[in-house]
Amino acid sequence: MTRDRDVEPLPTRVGHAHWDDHEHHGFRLYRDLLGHESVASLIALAITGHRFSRDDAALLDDLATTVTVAEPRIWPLKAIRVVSAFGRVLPGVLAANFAFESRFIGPLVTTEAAQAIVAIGKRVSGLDPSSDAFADQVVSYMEAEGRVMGFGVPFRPRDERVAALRGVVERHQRERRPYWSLAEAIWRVARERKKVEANISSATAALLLDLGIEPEHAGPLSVALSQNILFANAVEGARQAPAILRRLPESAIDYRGRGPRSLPGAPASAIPDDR
Amino acid sequence: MSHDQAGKGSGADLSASGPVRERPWPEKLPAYVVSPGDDPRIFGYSALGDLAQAHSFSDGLFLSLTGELPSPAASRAFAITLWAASALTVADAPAHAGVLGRLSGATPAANVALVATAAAERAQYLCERHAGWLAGIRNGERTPCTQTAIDPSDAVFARRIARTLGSAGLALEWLGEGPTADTVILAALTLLGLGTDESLVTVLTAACLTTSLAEAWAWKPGQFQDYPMDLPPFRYQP
Repeated sequence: MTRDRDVEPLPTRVGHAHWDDHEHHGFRLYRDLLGHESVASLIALAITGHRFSRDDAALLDDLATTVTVAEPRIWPLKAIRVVSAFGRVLPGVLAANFAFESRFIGPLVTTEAAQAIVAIGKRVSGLDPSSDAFADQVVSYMEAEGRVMGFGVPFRPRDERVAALRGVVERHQRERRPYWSLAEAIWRVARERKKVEANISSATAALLLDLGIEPEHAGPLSVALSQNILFANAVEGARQAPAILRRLPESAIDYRGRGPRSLPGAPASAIPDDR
Repeated sequence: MSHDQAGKGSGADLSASGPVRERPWPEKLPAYVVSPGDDPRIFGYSALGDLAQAHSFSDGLFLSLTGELPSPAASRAFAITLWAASALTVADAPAHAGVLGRLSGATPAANVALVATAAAERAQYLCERHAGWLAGIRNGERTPCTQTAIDPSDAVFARRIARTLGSAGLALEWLGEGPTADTVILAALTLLGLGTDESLVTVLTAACLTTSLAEAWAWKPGQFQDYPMDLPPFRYQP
């Protein structure tokens, strides 16, 4: 028998089903939200619990377009191709989302990139962004942390998505917002003093912080806004279902592990050789 | 066709340029554990010629994670620990999640993935929650875990696991009187040389996967009327 103290009610803010309308974060679905929200703003509402203006929603739409790099050879997306090679879409999408559960690459690291910007912002509060004192604080933080999320661009000199997102921010006249301005100053110091370029995680983090989005929500929102590239690969991969991804030819494998050995005291082979 | 095709496709071959194409990459995929061929070997041992003749599947799991077969004593202790870790009920998240997937009509493959996800998340949670204590065990400390069993049946089961492992030669009396079953299992696996997060998560997930799935397969897709939908109750508080 279940004891009452074992089943405390769980509070939820995200939803409640009624008969004729439904609740979502304190809003009535058909009365308040229908006809007023874009897909991006609905996703942002789902994650943050806050509604966003039309211009904010348009900015999120542009962010989603900016990060639409659907190249199937990029590792998490390659995982989609390998899994969807058996003909189903959703397992492929899940494969990439699992690969995104990472502190290394992928949109989820936007949370840590945002935390880094916030932490550096506290250190440099009141300092002139062009001053040596500002630069010293940024360098000190980066060296103390070791690996700072939002910096480093693998296999190319700079992250083209940062430049594209900068254009988006300027078109929406957000370039003087506090976190974007701070981030630009941090990126300059990182480039000049640490020889490391900012990547899209840091740029996304700055943009989202200026929208009032907390760091803990920045990563999940970035993942959610990346789902289009996952579905693109999963739909195409499931339709193709290529045999080569279900099993690579043996000639493509380079075995580097332990050489053959036998169990102590065992004969060379306990079963007949059929060859 | 109503879709906007403006700006789509220039007709040029775009695949010859870009950062992926313009950098040298290895042409083969390295393998480190299982050798390919007509006599596949796991860390050097023939799967059929050696391992299947003289070892249990749990020994193979140990081999896969450590690179070596367990001693007879370690094999016995590892098997006991796996049995203990397999005994999750439908109250635990892996089987509960599997029931929900089954009710929803998920394919067998999808439900295996769903249960494996819950099991692996549970295992990762345990590792993170006990990280400092497990590091101490790896460094030779033998102190009881500060987290003790709340549920009386968990405390009894924990003592039974420790006693059974003790009879197999794995001394765990230093865990004291109040450990949880999970902490006994984590301690045993760490003492057996499987104390990395990677090994612990793999073992704990593998151990409960089939029992949790069996609990799910006992349901029929769409058997919603038998599922306690308000357990636990959710209260909408915007």
